[in-house]
Amino acid sequence: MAKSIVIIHPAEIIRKGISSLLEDIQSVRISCFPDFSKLNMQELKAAQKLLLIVPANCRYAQELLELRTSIGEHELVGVLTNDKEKCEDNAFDHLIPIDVPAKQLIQIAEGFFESDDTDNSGELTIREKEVLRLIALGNTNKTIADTLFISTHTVISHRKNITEKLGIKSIPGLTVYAIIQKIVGPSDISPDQLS
Amino acid sequence: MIQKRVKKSLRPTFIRVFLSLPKIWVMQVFSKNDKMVHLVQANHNLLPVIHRFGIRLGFGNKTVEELCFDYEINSDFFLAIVNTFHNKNFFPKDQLLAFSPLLLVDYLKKTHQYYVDYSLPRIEKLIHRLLMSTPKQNSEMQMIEKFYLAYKKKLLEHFDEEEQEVFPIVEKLVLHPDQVADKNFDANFEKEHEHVDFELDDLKNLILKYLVPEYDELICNKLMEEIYHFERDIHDHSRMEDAILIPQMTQLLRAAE
Ligand SMILES: [Fe+2]
Ligand SMILES: [Fe+2]
Repeated sequence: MAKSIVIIHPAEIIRKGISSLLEDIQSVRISCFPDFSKLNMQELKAAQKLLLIVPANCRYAQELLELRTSIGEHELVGVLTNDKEKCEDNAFDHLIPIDVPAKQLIQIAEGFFESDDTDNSGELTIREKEVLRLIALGNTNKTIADTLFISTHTVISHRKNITEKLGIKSIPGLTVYAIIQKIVGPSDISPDQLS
Repeated sequence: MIQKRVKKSLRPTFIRVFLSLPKIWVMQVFSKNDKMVHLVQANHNLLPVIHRFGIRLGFGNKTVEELCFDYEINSDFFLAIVNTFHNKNFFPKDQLLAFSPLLLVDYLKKTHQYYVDYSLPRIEKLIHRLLMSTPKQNSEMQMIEKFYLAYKKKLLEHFDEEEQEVFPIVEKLVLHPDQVADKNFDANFEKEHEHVDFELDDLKNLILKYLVPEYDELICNKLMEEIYHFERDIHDHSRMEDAILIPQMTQLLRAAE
């Protein structure tokens, strides 16, 4: 299966709810599990792109870490069941409250699966261009993460892809590329961005 | 059937050729009895290295040893430098560490001088001429020149730091170790050297991959040749600093404590 959504949550009502909201996304397979021990790892490893939706709860930190290091390209969505819940917000690409508008959740999922469709061409995706623009403007990983509502982990992985596609490693080099490609204007750049 | 037999009879030759190739290709280590002119004929990039030692053309048929004697140069050190420069995979670390750090400092200073006086201005001039040969309305291209100037500025600062802080300490440690006040001096340039590598690589890629198609090709050829030459040279230079000079300095500091 190329694209998968995996929903892990102890509450059946949440699993089924999220699943029914996302079932219209094209060519994506959705599977639901009550907890981490029931996961079919073979299937997860076989997925090309994986959207993981899990409780935003520190209790599962260890399981999540193990899972994330053994699967391929993925994003992690944390579901907050109540405001007081403790969680490591940096660990998630998206954090959504349980009363999140359905539209927003669908956008997150669609955005993720659409983003890298042109992966082999060496062209930057829309998201990567956005990250590159913010790099060229002199933003740190943290600021970029906050601006785009993604984790710094995801920013770093975007940067890695950008560098691989362009063959340009340094920030000054990326800045010049962004100007040449008219992703930013020369006047948007502070003079010390090249040093 | 016939085809099979032919293949079989050819196989030993193939194996022999295959086995002997790497020996000829990978390592060509020059020795004292080689004629100096032979070094330049084998690799013209060695000429600037030879010049750094103060050896001038007019080699005649003199060998490395004879010329080193004439110019009062340590021929073992000369050969170690020339051979590491010539072979990417040749790096006799123990031998290099055993030479006096003064020899290396002197060589590194002359190398800086070569970059400052020749390589960097030449690349700068060629980039400028290359961009002048592209259509004026493509002002974005001018960013390549700005990139290079910023790179050059950082590199000159790096050379300055080495010349003001590291080289004098090494010299002092050898000649007057008792006069060195700060024995906890700590220097590590690996990160900075990595950045030098990266940005030079970026410069190449920006030109090779993203230059507009209208430009003067002769200038471009010259520029790329100069950048590749410089890249190779400074890579060797940084490696000497990271793997030889800094360990030598650490060793001397420890001995002076
Ligand atoms: Fe240096
Ligand atoms: Fe250096």
